[in-house]
Amino acid sequence: MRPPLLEIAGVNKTFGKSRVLSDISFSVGEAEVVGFVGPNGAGKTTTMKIMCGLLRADSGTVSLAGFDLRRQPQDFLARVGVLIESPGMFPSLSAGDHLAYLGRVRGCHEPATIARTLAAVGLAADSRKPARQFSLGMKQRLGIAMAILHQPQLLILDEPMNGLDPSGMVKLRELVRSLCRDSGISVFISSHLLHEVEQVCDRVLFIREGRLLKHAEVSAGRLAEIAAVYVRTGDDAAACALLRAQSFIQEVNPLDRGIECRLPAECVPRLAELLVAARIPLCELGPRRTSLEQVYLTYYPEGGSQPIQ
Amino acid sequence: MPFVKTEFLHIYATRVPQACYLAITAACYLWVFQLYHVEKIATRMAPPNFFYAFSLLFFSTWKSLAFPVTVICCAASWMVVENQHGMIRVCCAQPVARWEYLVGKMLAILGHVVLMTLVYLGAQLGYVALYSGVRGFTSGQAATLGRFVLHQMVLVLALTWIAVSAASFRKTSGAAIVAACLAMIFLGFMTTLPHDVLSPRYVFMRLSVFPIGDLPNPFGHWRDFKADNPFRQIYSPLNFYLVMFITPLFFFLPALFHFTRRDITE
Repeated sequence: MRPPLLEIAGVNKTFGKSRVLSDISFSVGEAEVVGFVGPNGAGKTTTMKIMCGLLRADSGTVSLAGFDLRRQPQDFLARVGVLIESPGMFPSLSAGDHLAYLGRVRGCHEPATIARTLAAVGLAADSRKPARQFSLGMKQRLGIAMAILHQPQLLILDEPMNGLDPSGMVKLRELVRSLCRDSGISVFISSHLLHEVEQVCDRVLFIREGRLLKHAEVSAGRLAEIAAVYVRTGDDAAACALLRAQSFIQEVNPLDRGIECRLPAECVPRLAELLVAARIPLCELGPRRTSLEQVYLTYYPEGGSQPIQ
Repeated sequence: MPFVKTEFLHIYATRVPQACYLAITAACYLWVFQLYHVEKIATRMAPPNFFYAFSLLFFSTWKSLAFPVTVICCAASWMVVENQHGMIRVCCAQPVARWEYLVGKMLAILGHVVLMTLVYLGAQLGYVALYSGVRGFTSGQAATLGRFVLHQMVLVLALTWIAVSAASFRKTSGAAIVAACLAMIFLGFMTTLPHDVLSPRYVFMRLSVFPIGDLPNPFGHWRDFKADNPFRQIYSPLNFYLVMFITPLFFFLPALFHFTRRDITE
């Protein structure tokens, strides 16, 4: 088994007397997109700032590809791309100037690299426009361009979808997936837009009051992992009786409209064949999975202000 | 140090330095106009040649403090421009050591200050050459002028080094300028220290007119201006260089310690 790309172990952080992170430990694998979810003030940005060296953890270790952030910060940071909070930029410089500025520091300021990066985030046409004329969405995209300019191994994105319009969100989602798929870049992404996180992430971590919730890693629900399906037929009572008699179906729950079944994902086609063979009209058959929003509400009742019982 | 060139080009791209060059050249002309057209003093001093005229013009512009204040404000502002615009989060996440980033940024700013100082001195030399001509300017005076330029450059760089070190503790341009000015005021108050506490030869501000001592006294024919005037060097160049190097260190080392350890919370 390959070791994880990023490993965080036992990270603690206090600001004055306030403890903001307690014993944070998790890992991110290669070419994996991991979501980071929690209410405001839970410690998401603090964790991410520690991951890129902006804040110093009181204790604990952060390592990437074997490089320890405290002992080998240059080697660590050379492999990380960062967009923390709203992207900062110089108002008088253009998008191209910003990338050239960072490119000179990282040794990748060739015009072709800059042009390719701007094109990847859809800013090629605005490369000469001063940043002060950018909309919030354009600034966000420029921030992402600055983060991916040097082809990092790990991309840390803190609320990257803030300010993006729906088409911008779709493009960002595609960009993140393509970075992961085509370039093998791992992405660690925080967002309040749970639907977006659900669509883009392989795994989601939940944080609350500075603590990572145990057993909070959930699958974002790929089709292959479906364990529950929703069935609606022309005769739900007959269908229910038929399905209950089948040994490969673990659970059958009649609903007000339709039936919920729990069964192994590979058995879903057999269920459809069974209903068709019994001449029960099949009106609807689809995955019935727990949405990330439901999981979030389980972990953060009352929007995160109430403790979990 | 990749940040030296990067920061230098970044500051240049803001076009503030170019605006400063124009402003300095234009502002110097105000004194030229006053001296040559209003007071006609250059024609009345003895001997009325290039070197003496430059000495008079430089003394007038320097004692107004317009140039050092401009330099200090620009440098302090440039020092925190990343904090001001949130770019500090990006800059400090680059694979460059914090000390390297801070020193690189300071060197870039000092590079611009060198250019500003050259424009400041060059504009005045040009105006004087234009108005008084260069007749009577000897090679010995040229060597003295070169020494003066060197001393003046060292003084301005030391002032800037102190200003940017003080500014690096702050996070906005306004606060940085205030911090830099407070550092200057603190240095000014050091001139009131009793001589048995700190010898005056080690007080930075007492050496702020040291370079002028290289220039000839244009008021030499005025009896009251002979005994005690800034056109005399009472301390050695070695003492000058020592103070110009040691004093900024008192501001720079805490700034370095603070910056390399501080959390980037903005």
